[in-house]
Amino acid sequence: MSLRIALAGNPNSGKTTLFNALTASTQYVGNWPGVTVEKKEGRIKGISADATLIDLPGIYSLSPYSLEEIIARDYIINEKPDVIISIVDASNLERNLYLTTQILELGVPVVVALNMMDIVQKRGDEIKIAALQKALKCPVIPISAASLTGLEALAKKVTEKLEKPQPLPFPKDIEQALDGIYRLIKDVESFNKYEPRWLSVKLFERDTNIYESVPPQIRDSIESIIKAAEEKYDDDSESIIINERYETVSKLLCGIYKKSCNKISVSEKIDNVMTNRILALPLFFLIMWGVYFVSIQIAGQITIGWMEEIIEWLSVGAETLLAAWGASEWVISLISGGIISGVGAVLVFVPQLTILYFFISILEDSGYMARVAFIMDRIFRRFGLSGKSFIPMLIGTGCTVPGIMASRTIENESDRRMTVILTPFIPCGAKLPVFAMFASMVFANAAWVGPSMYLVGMVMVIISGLILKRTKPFAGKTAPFVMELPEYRMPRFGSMAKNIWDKTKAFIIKAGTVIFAASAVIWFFKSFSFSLEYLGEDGIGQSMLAGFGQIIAPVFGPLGFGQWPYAVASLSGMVAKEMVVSVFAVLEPVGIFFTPVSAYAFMIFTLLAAPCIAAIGATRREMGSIKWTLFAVFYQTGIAYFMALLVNQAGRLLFADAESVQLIFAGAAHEGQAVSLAGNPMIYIMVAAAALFVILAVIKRSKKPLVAQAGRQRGKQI
Amino acid sequence: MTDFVVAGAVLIIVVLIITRAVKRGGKCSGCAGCSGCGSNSGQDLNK
Repeated sequence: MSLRIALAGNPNSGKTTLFNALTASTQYVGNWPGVTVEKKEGRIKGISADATLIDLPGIYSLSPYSLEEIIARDYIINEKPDVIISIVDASNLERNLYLTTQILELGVPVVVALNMMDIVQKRGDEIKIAALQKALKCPVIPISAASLTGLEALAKKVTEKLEKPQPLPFPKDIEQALDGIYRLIKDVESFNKYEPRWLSVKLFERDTNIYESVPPQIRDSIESIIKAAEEKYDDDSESIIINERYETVSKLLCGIYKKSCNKISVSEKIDNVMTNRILALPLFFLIMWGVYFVSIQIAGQITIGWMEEIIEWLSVGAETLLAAWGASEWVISLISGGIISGVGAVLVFVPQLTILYFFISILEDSGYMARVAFIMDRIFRRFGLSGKSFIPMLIGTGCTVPGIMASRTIENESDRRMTVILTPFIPCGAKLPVFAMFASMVFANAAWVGPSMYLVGMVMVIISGLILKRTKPFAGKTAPFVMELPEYRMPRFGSMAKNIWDKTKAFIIKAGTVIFAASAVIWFFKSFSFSLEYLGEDGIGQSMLAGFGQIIAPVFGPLGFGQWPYAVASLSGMVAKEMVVSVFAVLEPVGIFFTPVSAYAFMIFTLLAAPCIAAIGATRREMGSIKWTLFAVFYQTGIAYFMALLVNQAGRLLFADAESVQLIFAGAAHEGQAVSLAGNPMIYIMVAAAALFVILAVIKRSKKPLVAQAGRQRGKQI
Repeated sequence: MTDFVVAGAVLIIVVLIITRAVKRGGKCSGCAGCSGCGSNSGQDLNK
């Protein structure tokens, strides 16, 4: 029978290189059921034994969080390979051994392949292999998969008869807790398939998949053991295990791993400039300005015209078609002036945002964004804020909801609460169309408009931090922030393409759903009176929307936008921030005018005011209190009001003669002249993108039967 | 008739979108339901 050897390790630890080197040309590539994660199988060449190597997905841990982690751990637990090769990037030993500590608990013989030893030697670092082997209590083979060294020894070792590994010990009180848990569950039949040590640790961590299967009669006893440990360590059980694993690895490497002090790597050379005490922040803003210059100023000037032409064409086409079918004026208005205008106003920014996402992906994938967190930590700490607060804010640049949820990593309760309140100050993806709209229509595509919003957001985070830290509920020592900076690397095309595609898709889906519905609702209220009489474009002033808007509009007077359409647009941001653009487009017939000062005040208000309803929901969940959620909403809106007031009043003094500009949108019930799309490059780009999408979908689909067939041949369930 | 069909279709779509949004509660759009995976990708990696 063939020996089955699983290959597990962190992404980028050289797994594929090792797999290809060991299996030569007999590799088999297939998809796992229902997921996009790739698995490879191949026969190990050059050894007498019949051995199959199974390449598991690249993972950082065996927690049930990512799909890759679940797949890898399910494979090991259910398929029970004969040996696991734990491939470790020797140039990044501490982080990589974290996964090894978990693999050692699975009860399957383990061989540690210490990869990239050539890099370690090149750096002048030293790893004492025999000592490491002794500490891990399992074979450790130094290799370099890229230069094919040490592979024979590795292949030979994995085919030898190996002992079951011994897991690394936790501190005594944790060991006692794990012991106590094991005694409670050792007779539960459904747990027999699991390795006792691994099972106890997972139950201690309250691993969702395992914990749910605990019989109710013993769950309380397990819970009391966990709670006692949590109280002792003042941390949640999962974090206790994570911290202890890193602690164990760190202690273990003491005296085993000797780092050379002489050599400076390329990453360190780049970091000497990019994270320089004085240059770091100006460089960050310069980079962000460059990104916005290209994506908003250059690309914006070109693509907005193309997109507007398409929306205009759709609008005129829909009007003509509906008129030919004998539709009433109000139905034509609903489709053209309501839905196409509202959704189209947001969609015109898709090309610009795609280009923006492209540059942001480069910054993320190259490792620069991790440095930004490091740079901000230095500034945050100076103002009494934890650097840990910046990670949720960095995530919040995409969407505030996961940003708020990422604050869970902050142990200190008051720091966490403050981070939840301040994260929405950072511009999320949904606010970008609002800024792009003003940048293109009021500020002549100026590149400084976008980055200035990030600057204002960060300044407000710092000022708010200073204010809140001086109040009783937020006072206290700031938690330390430790993070490992990844090496700089060339951005990978695959992960960048996925990132850009996911973000663009999410943006388009939102425009097609939430913005679609909200545009239709806004159109209804602006087109009908309280007696449900259709008013047409000339009677918008008597509409229900005008009625509601006029009640709240005076509040916004001091901010420079005190008429009802502006008040309605501003409040509509509570549904989704992009709605602000859609509402202005739907209400365009009223005439929307902004001076650069009132536009900037409006942007400031949109940036800082309470986030969308989804983010408020996330705030409620994370705060666990209505009182704190209301405090957050009122604090954010209060700060937004004050800052917009300041900008408007000061701006009016400084730029008294600034002229008003009317916001003009495509497709908003313009005079219906024919629009030709001949020569519009965006059409060709969209057709090419659609064709590429179809081709990729067909390729993906055509692969599935092959995988299923191969799976059946191998007697596996696919 | 055209009015009835077009307005009816829009109404059904709007009701469906709102129902779905309410069902999902406070979840960021684009995801299958955010559990705070932090992927910043519009896709919930925890699902």
